Formats: sequence, structure tokens, C-alpha cells
Amino acid sequence: MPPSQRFAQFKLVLLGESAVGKSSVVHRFVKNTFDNMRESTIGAAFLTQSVTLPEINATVKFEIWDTAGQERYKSLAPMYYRNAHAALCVYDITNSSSFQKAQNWIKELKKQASEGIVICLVGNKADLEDERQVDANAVTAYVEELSGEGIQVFTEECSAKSGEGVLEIFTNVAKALPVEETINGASKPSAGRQSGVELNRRPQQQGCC
Amino acid sequence: MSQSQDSSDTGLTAENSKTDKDSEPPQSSQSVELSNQKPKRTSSATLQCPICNEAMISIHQLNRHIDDTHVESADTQKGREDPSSKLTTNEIVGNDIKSWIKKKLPAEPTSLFSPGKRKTINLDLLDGNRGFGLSDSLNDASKSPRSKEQLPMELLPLKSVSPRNSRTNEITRSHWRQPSINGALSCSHPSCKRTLNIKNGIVNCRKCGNLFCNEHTHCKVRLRNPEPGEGKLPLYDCTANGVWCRSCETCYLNKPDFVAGVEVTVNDVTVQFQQKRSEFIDTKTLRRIKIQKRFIKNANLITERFVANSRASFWNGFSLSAFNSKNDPLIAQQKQLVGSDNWQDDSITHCAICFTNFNFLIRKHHCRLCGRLVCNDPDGERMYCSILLPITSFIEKLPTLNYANLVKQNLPKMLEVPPESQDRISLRCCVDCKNDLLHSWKVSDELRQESDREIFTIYNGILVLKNTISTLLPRYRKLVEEISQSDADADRLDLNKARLRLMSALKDFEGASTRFRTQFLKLQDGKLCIKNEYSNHKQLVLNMYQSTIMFLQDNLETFKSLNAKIQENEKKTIEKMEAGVQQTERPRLTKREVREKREKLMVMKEQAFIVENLIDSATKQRKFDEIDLLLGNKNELAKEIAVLEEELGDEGF
Repeated sequence: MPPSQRFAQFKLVLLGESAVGKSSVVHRFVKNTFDNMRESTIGAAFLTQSVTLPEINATVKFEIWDTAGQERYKSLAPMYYRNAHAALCVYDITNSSSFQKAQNWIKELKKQASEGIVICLVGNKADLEDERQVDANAVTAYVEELSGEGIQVFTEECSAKSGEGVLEIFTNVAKALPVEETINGASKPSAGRQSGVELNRRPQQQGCC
Repeated sequence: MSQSQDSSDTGLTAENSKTDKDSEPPQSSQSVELSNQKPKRTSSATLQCPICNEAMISIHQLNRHIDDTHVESADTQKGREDPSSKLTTNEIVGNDIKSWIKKKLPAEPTSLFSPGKRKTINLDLLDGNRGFGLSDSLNDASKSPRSKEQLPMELLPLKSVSPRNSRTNEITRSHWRQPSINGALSCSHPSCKRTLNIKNGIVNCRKCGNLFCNEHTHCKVRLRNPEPGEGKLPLYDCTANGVWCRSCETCYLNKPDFVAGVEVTVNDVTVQFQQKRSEFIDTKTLRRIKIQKRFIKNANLITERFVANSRASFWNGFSLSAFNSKNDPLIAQQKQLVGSDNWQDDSITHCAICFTNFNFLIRKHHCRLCGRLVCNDPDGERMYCSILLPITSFIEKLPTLNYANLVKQNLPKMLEVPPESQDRISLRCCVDCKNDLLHSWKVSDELRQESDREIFTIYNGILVLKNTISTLLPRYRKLVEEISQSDADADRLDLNKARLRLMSALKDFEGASTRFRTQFLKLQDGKLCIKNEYSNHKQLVLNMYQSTIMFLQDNLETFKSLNAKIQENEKKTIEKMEAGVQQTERPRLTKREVREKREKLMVMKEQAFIVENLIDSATKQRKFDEIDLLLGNKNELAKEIAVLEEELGDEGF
């Protein structure tokens, strides 16, 4: 089987307080760009990007739902994490309240999201080491506390600005996901479509406004 | 049918008046209708329809033919005829037709059919098939030599003579099954094993075309020919345009109006009947009261006179006045009492009751209560038309009427009057007035008998219970309805009380009816019969018992249905209470909740818009795999929006 054929698609959702850099992380991952003056996200943005896992000779495609962090859009989040396979809870290492918020998200995910969701606690803005407020030890302590409760969360730090550690996060998530099962098993979670163009596809019917 | 006979009569009289038959050529039917004088040709061997000259085998067939064929044409002429003249011609013609038929009867060919075969003819004539019935199937059957042999020879010419009714001809015969030449055919009816022959009949069902015996083609359906493209079989036509055709039972049962029309229209005329009945009873009662009043006045008058006479001339006064009736002032007074309009004058020649002519022996008498002229018939030689009775005998029977004091005082004296001089205090009244007058006495007399008393006491007890029930039941029903409407528990107590009372009343009533039964009725051969000692009140007791039982059944039924209603109601309230916890929260949204939900809804709508845009751009960029995902999300959003909008209800935007 050629490598391109080993393909799995997963839904990934980003959660976190506003202005922690969720969209920046995603854009760094998807487009490898950074915008200093990024506007805050409205609703939830949708992007896709693939990572290749040479160890198992497979391609994992992420459909990424980048939700808005503002309180106003909180009600949208459940719709997106409900059947997501992975979630990135992003916090700003220079903002301790954002870390608190990320913890809340993890709690909520454990309660509401589907079983077996891969959660990654991402500390962004690692380039601003000088202004760090969230201690790395506190994070590890928290993760250990979670694993004591039987919740597996792995944590990463990255910088969307410099691009450091972003790809690793997604690669690690991809490795943690049940890729083999998805490729082989009959139960393809949400990966409904094969890649490629369907020739007989009917054009999308859309209203004018 | 009188109309059709009429039209035939005109032809028959014409025929009858002419002695030289066979001399003139046959006329068309229209001309016969117009002029009665036109003669018609009839051969001595066969009958002909007087209207259309069609040859007939029997009188019966002729009658049928006239009824079926000429009834419509006669109907159309109805308007033109003067009803009075029609009546008189009918009478005259009525005699003529009898003589005509008498004349014709011996001429009827007797050799044609045995009685058994005639039956088959009658059956087929029902079909409205004008010719000889079997001829229809024999048309086809005649191809086989075997059946042809069996044909009476007279039939064959007949067939050609009689023009078959055009309406029957309308229905197609192309689908008819042909009788096979060899081997015995049997009826197509599933439970009929009869072989088809002349005796049993070889008849095609006009609808399905299968062959049946006579007995299984009794039915008639209305058919019409299929339009082009509707197949070969004739179709049902329930309207008046359909032609009545003979059919088998299956086709009959399948006809559409039979299936649709099985519902019986019920016309309940009870109310009208009750109205009429009460009107009738009212007039009766009124008349009785009137007669009673007149009697009281008459009694007063007669007593006055009796008193006056007995004072004036104790010995000879009455004998003079008794025979001097013409000039008697009493009669004038009595006439005034009845009213001179009601007082029939002497020109009447018949008794008003028995209609006998008055003569020297049968004298006229005025009934003093209604004023009609009647004959004297005290012994019932005719109809007990009138009777002369001393008023004392009436007064004795009707002691409670409001007589004048004078009457009451003199009653003992009048009772002492010897029979030979009772004329003085007698009153002439007709049998009708007597019955009306004594009606109340008769009724009460019937009830006065000893054995009745027992029946009535028991029945009275039942009636009391009946009253209680009929007051309790509506109250109970009202309570039940109130509860089922208001869902309140407050009236439960009242309701239960009412139910208990009603139940005990019903129980008592049942016990009373059982006692009534054991008292007066006994079981004989599994049927309830009246006990011998009460046999003269059989009807009374049976009616009482029946009404009791019916009342009990009706009320028990309503009681039970009401109870069922309550139970259902209770079940519902319990269910409601269980479901209430969730339901109560939903409709009551606090202001904050409303605000939150509105906010949420707005966000959802925004997001839907964004996703819409994403889909657009994905389409432009040919990212078809993304479109699917986005569409899924869009649907999800739409669902979410719908839920929110429903939750908000009127509180939405």
C-alpha cells in the first residue's frame, strides 16, 4: 500500500481564553505565518492541515476548529468539542488566569466530550520567557494530579511567533491518536470522505444571503 | 304502476271496442297514445303489447313488459292528463281490461311451459330483459345443436319477432362465456354444483360474463358499457343512467354503491311521535273537561227542576212535563248549555254514531252533552248510540265533581225516585260522551281493585328510589365534568360522597326490582311469567318490571361510564404530575435566561453565517472534502438554532 493511501482524518478543537494565541498557533501550523496584529476570532474558524508520521507511514489530517476565546462565544464550544478527537487547551504562559481557564476547559472536556479524547495543554508565547507567570512546575504538578485522577493530558510549550514547538504539538497529538485503528478499522470516526475529487458531485446549492 | 296500466288501458279499450280485429294493419305506438279509436291487430295465438305491438307469451310477461318499457313514456304524459278525467277513465277502463283479459286467457298458448319452467321465465323477466329470458344465453347456446333441440319451437320465431329492448342491448356481450358444446357445464358459483341446462338455467352474469344457474343470478346491478380504453367488461354505474342487469352474487356484492351504502340512515321520529301523541292527549283531555263541565251544569239544571217540580205539584206535575218535551224549557236551557252551534238541527237524517237513517221507530235524540243527533240504542242493537240514564247514577260514580250545593243536598231524595219515574231526572247522552265522562271513574275503578294495591305499594317504593337516582345522577355527572375540566383536587371529597350515595341508591333500586320480580313473577321454561294470582294484571306488572329493569340498566351504564371517566382523569393527573417537574421549568424563563439564550442564538446565527462563508470559499478553492465537514457543521448549527428558537418561543427576536 503506497504511503499516500494510509490516511486518517481527525477533528481537533482549540480552546482557551481569548488572546492566548490559539489562532496564531493554528496559523503557524497550517500556513507557517505569524501576524503581530491578528484580530480576535469571531465564532469558530475552520482550517485543515496534515502531518505525516513516517514511523507508521501514515498521513494524519486535522480538521481544526479554532474557536473564539471571548466569553460571548462560549456557547459555541460544546458543539465543536462534542465529537472532536483531540483538543488543544491553550494558555498564555505570561497570564496565570489563562492557565486557570485552561484547567476549567480540561474539566469541562472530561465531563462533556467524548471518551478517549486526546487533550493537550499548550502553553503559548514561550518566546516571552521573561514575563512568565505560569510556572512549569505548577503545570507538571497539575498534569500529575490529573493523571492521578485517571486523566491523561500531555503538555507542551510553544511559540507561535517564533514557530518553536508548534509542529511538535500536532505531531505528538497525531501520534497519540488511534491512527492505525482508524485506517484499518471499520469505525472511521468522522473521516467520511476519501481524499480526491468526486467526479459526479452535484454543485452545492446555496442561497444568496 | 297505475300510470302504466292507464296507458295500456287506452290501447285495450280501443281494441275491445272494435269487433273486426285483424282487419287493419298494426299502428305505431305513438298513434295509439294519441287516438283511442285506432284498432290494433292481435292474433289469437299470441298476445301483443297494445303500445308497441311486441309479441308476448303470457299475460304476466305483458304486464312486466308494460311496466318496464312504457312506464317512462307514460310518466312523461302525466302532466298533460287531467287527474279527474283520468280517474273516471280508470274506472271505466278497469272493467274493460278484466273482460279483455278473460277473453284472452283461453287463447294463451298453454302448451308453452310447464309450471316449473315458468318460474325461470319470471326470474328472467325481473332482469328487465324483454324477450324470453333464456334466449339471451341461448343466443350463444343455439350454436350447439344439443341445446337447440331442447328449445321449445315456439321460442325461436318469438325471438325474432320481439325487438329486444334497446337499453339491455346497450351492455356489451363480448365478454360472455360461451357454453361449451361437449360435457355438462356447471354453475360458476363456488357452492353450486348444478349442471346448467334449460331447467336450471344457463345465464351469463352480465358483469363478469361467467355462466351461472338461475338461482345464482338473482341479483341486479346497474351497468354501463366501458369507454374505449377501459377494458372489455361492462362497468358499474350507480347513477340513473346505468342499465339494470342481471348479475351473479359476487358482482352484486362488489358493486360500489353496495359497499358504500351499507350505512343505514336512521330517522328518529320519536320526538315527532311524542309531540303528536301529547297533542292528541291534550285534545282528549280538553274534550273530557268540556263534557264534564256540561254534565255538572246539566245536573244542576235537572236537580233544580226536580226540586221545583217536587214542590209545585207533588203528584201530577212531572207526568205532564215528562211527555211535553217539545216545549220543555229544560231543552232550551240544555241547548243553550251545549251552544246552539253544536246543537244539531232536525234536518239531520242519520245517526251521528251508527249512521242509521232515522225513521218512525228509530227516533232522533239530542245528546245533552255534545248536541249531536243520535238514535236511542240502550241495548246495543246498533252501536249503543245513546242512552237515557238518571243523573244520580252518574253522580254516584263521580262524587268529587264540583256540583252545586243543591245537587248535593237533594241527592238522597233523587236516589229514592222510583225507577218508573226516573225519566224526570234522566239525561240523554251519546256513547262517546258517556265514555268521556266516565273515563276518570273507569281508570280509578281499575286501580281500586284489591290486588292492585299490593302491586302499587311495591311499585311506589321503586318509584321513590327511581326519583332519588334521577336526581343524584345528574349532580354526580356535573361533579365529574367539573373535575375533569378544572383538575382541582378540592371537589374530590364531594365527588366521592356523591358516588357513594348514588351507589347505595342504585343498590337499593336493584334490590327493590328483585323483590318486585320475586313477588309477582316466576320463571317458567326459562321465561319470566306472571304468577297466577296476579294474572289479570299481567300487562301492568310486566310493563312495570320492564321499565324498572330498563331504568336500572341505563343508569348503571351511565354510572359506570362516569366512573371510568374519573379513573382516566386521575390517571392523567398522575401522569401530569410526574411529567410536571420537567414541564414547569420550560415555559418559565427568567429574564436572565432569556437574555442568555438570545445571546446564544445570536452567536449561533453568526457562526452559521461564518460557516456559510467558509463553504463558499471552500467551494471556490475546490476543497470539496472540507465542504462536507462544513455542511455537517452547518446542519448541526441549524439544529441548535431551531432548538433555541423553540425554547425562546415568543421571547425570541
